[in-house]
Amino acid sequence: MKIRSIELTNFCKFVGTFRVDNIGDNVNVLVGRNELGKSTLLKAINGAIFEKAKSTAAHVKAFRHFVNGTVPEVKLAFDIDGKSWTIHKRFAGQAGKSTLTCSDGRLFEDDAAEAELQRLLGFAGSRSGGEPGIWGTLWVQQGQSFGDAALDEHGQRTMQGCLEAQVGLVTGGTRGQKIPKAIKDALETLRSSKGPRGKFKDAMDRLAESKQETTDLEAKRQSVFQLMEDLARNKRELKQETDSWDDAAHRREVEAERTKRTVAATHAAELRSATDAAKLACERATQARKSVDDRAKAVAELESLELQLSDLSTASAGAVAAKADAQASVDTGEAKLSDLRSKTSRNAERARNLERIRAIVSLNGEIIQHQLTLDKAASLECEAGKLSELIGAIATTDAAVTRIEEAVTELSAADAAANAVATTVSFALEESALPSVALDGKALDAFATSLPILGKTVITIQDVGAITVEPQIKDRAALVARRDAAHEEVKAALETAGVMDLAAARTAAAQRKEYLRRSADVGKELANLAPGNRTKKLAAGLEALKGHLGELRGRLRVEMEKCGLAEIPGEDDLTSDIANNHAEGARFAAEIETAEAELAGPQDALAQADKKLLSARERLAGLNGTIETKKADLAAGRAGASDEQLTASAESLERDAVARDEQLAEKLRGQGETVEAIDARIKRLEGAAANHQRSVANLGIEVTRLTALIEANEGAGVEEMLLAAEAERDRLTNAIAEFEKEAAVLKLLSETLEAAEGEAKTRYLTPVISRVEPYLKMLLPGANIVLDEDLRIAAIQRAGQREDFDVLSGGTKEQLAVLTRLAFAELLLGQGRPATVILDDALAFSDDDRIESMFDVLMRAGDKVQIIVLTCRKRLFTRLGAAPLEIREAA
Amino acid sequence: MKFIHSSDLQIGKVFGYFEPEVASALQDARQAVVRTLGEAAVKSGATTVLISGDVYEKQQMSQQTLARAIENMRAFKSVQWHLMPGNHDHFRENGLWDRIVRMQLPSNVTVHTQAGAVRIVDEGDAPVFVLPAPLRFTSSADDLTAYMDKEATPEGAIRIGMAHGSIQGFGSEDEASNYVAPSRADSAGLSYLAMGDWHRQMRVNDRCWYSGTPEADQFKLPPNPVSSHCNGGSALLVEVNGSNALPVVAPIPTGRYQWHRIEKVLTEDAQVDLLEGDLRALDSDLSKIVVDLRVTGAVSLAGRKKFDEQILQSVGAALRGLRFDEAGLVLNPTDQDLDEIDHAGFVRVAADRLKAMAAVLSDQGQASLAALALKRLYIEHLRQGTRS
Repeated sequence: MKIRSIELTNFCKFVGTFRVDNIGDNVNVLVGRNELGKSTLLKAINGAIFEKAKSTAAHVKAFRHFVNGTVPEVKLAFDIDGKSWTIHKRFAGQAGKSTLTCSDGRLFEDDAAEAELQRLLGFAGSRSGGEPGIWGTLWVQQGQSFGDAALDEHGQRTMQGCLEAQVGLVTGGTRGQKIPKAIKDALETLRSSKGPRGKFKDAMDRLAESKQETTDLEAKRQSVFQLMEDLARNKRELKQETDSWDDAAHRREVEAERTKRTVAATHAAELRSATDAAKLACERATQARKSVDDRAKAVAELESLELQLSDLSTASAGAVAAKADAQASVDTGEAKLSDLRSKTSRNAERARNLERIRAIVSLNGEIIQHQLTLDKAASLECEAGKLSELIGAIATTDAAVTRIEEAVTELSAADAAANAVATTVSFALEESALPSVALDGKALDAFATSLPILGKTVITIQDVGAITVEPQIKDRAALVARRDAAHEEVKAALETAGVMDLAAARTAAAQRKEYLRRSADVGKELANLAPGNRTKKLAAGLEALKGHLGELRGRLRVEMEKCGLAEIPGEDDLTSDIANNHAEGARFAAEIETAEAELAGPQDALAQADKKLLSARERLAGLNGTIETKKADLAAGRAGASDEQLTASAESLERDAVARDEQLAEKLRGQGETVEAIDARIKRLEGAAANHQRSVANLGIEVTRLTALIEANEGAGVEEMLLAAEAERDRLTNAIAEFEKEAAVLKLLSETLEAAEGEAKTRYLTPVISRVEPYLKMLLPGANIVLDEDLRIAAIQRAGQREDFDVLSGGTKEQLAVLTRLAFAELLLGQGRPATVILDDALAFSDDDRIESMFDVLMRAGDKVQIIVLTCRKRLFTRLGAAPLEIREAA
Repeated sequence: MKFIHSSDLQIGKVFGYFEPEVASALQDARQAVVRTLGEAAVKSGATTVLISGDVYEKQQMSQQTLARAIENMRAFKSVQWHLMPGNHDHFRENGLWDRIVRMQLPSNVTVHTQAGAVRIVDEGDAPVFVLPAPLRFTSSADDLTAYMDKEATPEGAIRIGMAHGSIQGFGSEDEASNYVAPSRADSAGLSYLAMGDWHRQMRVNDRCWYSGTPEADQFKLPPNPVSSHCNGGSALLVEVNGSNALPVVAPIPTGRYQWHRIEKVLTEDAQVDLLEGDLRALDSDLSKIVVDLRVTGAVSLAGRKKFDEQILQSVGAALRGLRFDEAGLVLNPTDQDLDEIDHAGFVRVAADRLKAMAAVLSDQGQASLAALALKRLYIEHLRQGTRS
């Protein structure tokens, strides 16, 4: 299809009839300001094709002018399949009219016209109107051009038809699409991403339960068998227990043992009685014998105590004497020690006095030292005064010498300058003639000499006459004046300095300097005489020293008064006194040490003697008490029974005890088995019987219990249940294996189908991509486009990187979408279905470079595809170089 | 005297490799065979039924399983039942047989848990003794029938031995144990030795027979089989006329279900029809038939569909039980099969790929999966209807 012209009458904003003619095969551009009606033009093209003339839909009613509401009409001329067609629609609701005319003379009206139009352009119709299909993609309305070149379902079918015609039948049709889905569904009923589901999962769950049940039943089976074995063992043991036990024999044995016990018990009672009697007799005899012994012991003890008392009295007297001796020795030692200590005390007092005198001597030394300093200071001050006078007498300072030297130098220079221009008059006179010759009236002082003559000079020769020499010298007056001035300066300088000449001046200046140096030395020496002493808080200077000296003298006087000194002793005498006193003190200390050591012995002896005496007195007192008590006890005892009576009674009781012991020994010899032994045996026999009875009872209980347990369990038929459970487990295991196999089969099938379908789609997309790519290279060199299976732009690949369509810039998205539309149009063209691409205000987001590239693309595509560009940007689109279109009002 | 000799009822046995309802039917048949034996006795005029071991499958059976068998015996009042423990239900103290004894056994049922001659009836003047050799363990190293040689009975008595185990020198079935000397009948002066343990009916000698199980329970064919019919399903009617006379032994059918093991090689799709015919010819009532079908060979996808429909779904539904392992049946899809799926498009591409994968012999697991996937694709294609 190629659009040739369009005519609108009273359509939307257009009032009256407007036309766009001469739409060319290639790229056409309609430039117009905003609200000129470019978008209305596209709406009219869509309306003419897809909307039914009789439509009462709101958007069709909206074709009417919003003010005057007159019936809108659109007339669209287009070529298709080598024929020219015109569709004319008058949108008047039920009264609407469609007329389709062909260049071959055919005419279709109303429904026939709508149907033929659908057939011609290959879009689907419906009661309300046509579905734009591929045209919706190729005819881009304002504001939609930057979106993906998405195809609606019909559009996809159209494109798919084109593609399949090129790449062959790549899908299995509708059925082909259903198979992978059915397989995937079947797989999903068996297994999800999380694992088995449905029957498969149910079988797995049941298998786990079945395995557990099998394990439980196996355990129960073993336990029942164990019960059977336990029961058999218990029955055997019970039988053995019963068979091995003779109850009558056991009773007889116990009875015999009890009889034996009665006999043994009687004998044992007799024995106990005899034992008690013997024991009592023995105790009484022992007691009597002890009384005899105790009395003898008391008598002996008393005698011994009285002997001790005598000894102790003697010892006490000795102790008193020893104590008196020791006390005398101690008193002597202590008197000697006391004398030595008072001597030491006096020696110390003297030592302190000598130390004070030593301080006075030291103070006096310091005073003398300070006085010497002050004397020297007075001498130095006198010398300084003399030197000042000498310095004052010499006026020749260094400055005066310098002034003289400069004046002499100037004078020499002035003389030299005059001499340089002076006329030299040389004299070589005979010695005798000398007095006869005068120069300016003055006699010559040498026989031969040369004199410089500066001014007029008269040489008088006695007796000869006068010779006047008057040299002609330029600036003579100045030279003379300079020399005279120099003479004056030399003279003035010498006068000021008070000297005759320069040499004298230099000598005087040197003398003055020497006086100054000596005066400075005296000043320094004076200053060093009293530097001060920070530790004694003595400030520097002679005045401070004088003050300090006064203080020291005051202190000396006070100290001497304290010590009662009329004069200060010599240092050597004092040192000798101190040494003597110190030696005496040391001697006293040694003597005290010796005396103290000597006293230790007598003191110790005194303490020992004292202690001994105390002890002897205490023991004496104690012994006296004991002897009195013992005497009283003995007297009391004898009053009760005499010593003889006591001895006789003891002997009698001892004889009785011996007799009793013999009787007991006799009974012990006749003793048989003990009651305890017989009791143990009886206990053992009774225990054995009880054990037997208990064992029989326990075994009986156990047999009963096990029998009951077996009977309780056997009815269940554990092994039969186990067989069933094992069968179920095996069945489920097999079923699961089958499910797994089925899932594996479905997975393999699904994956194989998916891979094949993916590859087919890749092949299927290739024609579109191959058409996009030449344009893409012009726009984005080095980039590739990626389409999804629904022919949507999924991404582009640049420098090996995939960039999803959604993240691309608006401008790039728009450009890619336009390229894809051009590719679709070319594909249609390839199928003999030339298509028009309409771009309304497209490429609004393109930068200057890109839009130039897009213009190239459009012009290149325009060689094959009819393109109509609607734009408001006149200046920009002038560079497109397309055939211009105009909206003109019809005459 | 006439008696029925049977063994290995193994009541309570389960059949885990069948669907639960089939397994249940097979289990029921084992209980029902007691009645069949009783009826056979009555019908043949036998007064006694000897069961030589393995009346029950296990030791710890449910009360109902135990009691139902005994009650079925009680019902045949004119018949004396003599039961002996075998290896499956060997005698153990306080075990199954003690329990049966405690159950108030009917007077026509005797349990022989001890070795030793027991007089069971008098045949004219001649007393008839049974000499049982009950098992006290699953297997025994001793010949438990040895005692019979010295076990005294009155002169002229008819001695009938009962034993459970393998006869020495006859090869063995399953685990060989509990050996019995083949000459025992002669050496012990037995008129007849009623053997149990082998499920195949077999004559050892004139006086010694295995009765086989009265209801088949496994797909095991006898040596040199002449048909697909597996062992089991009959008992023996024995007639002994005097202590020295040779017994007259005759098999009698007792099985409710016939077990068949059928092996076929399919090389072309049309053979599916022949196989169907063979299966249908097994019996007019296929609900009595249990089949283990072992098919090998290769068929096309269409052939496999035919096999599934005609054999598994049609005949299979009629049979009492069908065990089928498809591992040996290779799918060999033809171009026509693939064309049927699609001529072109990605589905066809996938089908071609699966076919190629199925042909890779180096990876049998993957090849097998691929073949099944192809089969599934074929089925799915059929489900989705013809191509549009």
